[in-house]
Amino acid sequence: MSFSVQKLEVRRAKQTVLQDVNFTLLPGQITGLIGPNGVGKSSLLKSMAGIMNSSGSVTYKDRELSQADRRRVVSYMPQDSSAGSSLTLTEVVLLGRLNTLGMRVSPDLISSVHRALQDFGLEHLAGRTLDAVSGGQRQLCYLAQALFREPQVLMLDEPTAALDLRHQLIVFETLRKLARSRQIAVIVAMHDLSLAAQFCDRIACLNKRKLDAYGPPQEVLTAERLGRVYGIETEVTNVGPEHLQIRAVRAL
Amino acid sequence: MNVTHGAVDTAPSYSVNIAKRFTVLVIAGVVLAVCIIGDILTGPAMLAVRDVIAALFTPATAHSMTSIIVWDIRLPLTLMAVVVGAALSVAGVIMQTILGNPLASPYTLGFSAAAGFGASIVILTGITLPALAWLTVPLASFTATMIAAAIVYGLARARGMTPEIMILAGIATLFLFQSLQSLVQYLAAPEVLQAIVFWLFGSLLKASWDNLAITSGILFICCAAIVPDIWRLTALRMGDERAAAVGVNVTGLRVRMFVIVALLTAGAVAFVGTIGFIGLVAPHVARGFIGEDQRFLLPMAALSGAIIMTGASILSKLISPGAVIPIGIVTAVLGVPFLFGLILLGKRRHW
Repeated sequence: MSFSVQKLEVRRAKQTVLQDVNFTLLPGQITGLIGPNGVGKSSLLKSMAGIMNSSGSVTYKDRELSQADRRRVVSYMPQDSSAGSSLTLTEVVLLGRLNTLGMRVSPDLISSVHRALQDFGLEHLAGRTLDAVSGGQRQLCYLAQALFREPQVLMLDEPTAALDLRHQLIVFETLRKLARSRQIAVIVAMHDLSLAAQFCDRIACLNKRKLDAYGPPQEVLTAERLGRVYGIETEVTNVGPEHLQIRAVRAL
Repeated sequence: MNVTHGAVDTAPSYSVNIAKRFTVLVIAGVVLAVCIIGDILTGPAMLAVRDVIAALFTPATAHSMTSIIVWDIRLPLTLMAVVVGAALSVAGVIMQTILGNPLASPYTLGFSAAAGFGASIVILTGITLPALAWLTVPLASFTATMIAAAIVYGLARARGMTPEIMILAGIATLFLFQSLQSLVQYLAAPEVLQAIVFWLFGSLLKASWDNLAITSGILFICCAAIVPDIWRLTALRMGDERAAAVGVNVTGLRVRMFVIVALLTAGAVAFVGTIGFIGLVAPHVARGFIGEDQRFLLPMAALSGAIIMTGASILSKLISPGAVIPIGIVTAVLGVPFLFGLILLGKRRHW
């Protein structure tokens, strides 16, 4: 059931962005993908999702996936959600199942769209257009779309970037619940290390074109590593079983 | 309990929305029917509504003079207005969608300038096809439009099929063909120049049953070719990256739609000359009434285009009695206030 990456190499404009990346995503678990700006988090997600070229192998359930296969298995949510448009929220979520849509849309399908919107508290905005809701609501809507594809593997690029604290928690609580109940393997590119420590089962840390570490938060999120990777001084304290508190002190 | 209740509760709002859209389409259809009758009625010889309807539906018993006016003179013109309006408007919607730009129209990429150049060079040189003289000018402008499309496509292919590259290549092509057209006009003798300018104005008077059949055929084939991609077009309104994320091959879609727009535009413009503005205004009118779902937007755009075009045709016959002002002039005069009204009264801030 696992989604594995072996010896993945990503190149862009003749430059190596990432090389020799190996790890395995497990169903029902959330992996946090961290690393400084420009390290290649988005490129890694895009190549695993089959939207960007890469070499190396990607397997799912022990089967090698071509780029087209990856696009089918993986549901990927891009980072930018700033662009508004006059599509309604219902239409956006519906488009998640683009390849199965015909000229007529069944009422059953619409009901499940509304359930998907409900997961993120958007049901009252179903008929509104994207340009008539806030940036955060747009982001939640795209999350609902990504989940509406009923993916086995879900890849999210900074899904909480435009959200206030309450909505950040809603997103991760919902993700954890759905990951567990539907046995989806989830990987999330993110910057908030405390949030990563709180909600992720595993952390993948990228640094200097390589996967610096991959493992449980307690192992990966150490003051030494964060200092080396991000160039910051941090205080990492264990505040209970499997719960880390990370405080950034200053930039080095 | 609450969860399922909510889902059942909100689902009907979508079906209400769909019902509304169907109603809008039906109303637009009725308005178009009225415009069609109105267009047949107006002309140098004013006809009575009853006679026209009799001539249309029971030609055998109708007054022969009325029958001739309706069937041989006015109906081809009116139907040409419908087909050209629909074709340019559908082309406009697709162009705006694939270029992600509200300013895009079938003319943005230099297609009409090329059509004008193709027509003027044939008018200048006086070349005619041996058996099909009536097809010479349309064929030349069709060919020139296809050449312009090939240039834009070639450039975009080499550099990446992005909206920015396509628009840049298109604007360059536009200026190239405009200059060539000016050159032809400069070289032309006064009588020839008059013929060229008249062609460029755009006029329905060139319509006949034969060229109506060709233009409708192109419109029909293109619409059939759009249907399989209709949801992908809707998805493209989320932006390239998000469309790709839900499984759209964005480049492939753009190429297919680009070819369709080129065909639709060439097919329409070749027979009636460069009629501007329909391809820009009608899509916005349709979008304002019906939203982004292309299953509804494209039919609505076709209807709005046809309505504006027949409306312009009626107006072109009424402005100065006895004369028919070229419709290309009227569409812009009629279209601009329409667009201004839409911008001022529209609720949406985004297009």
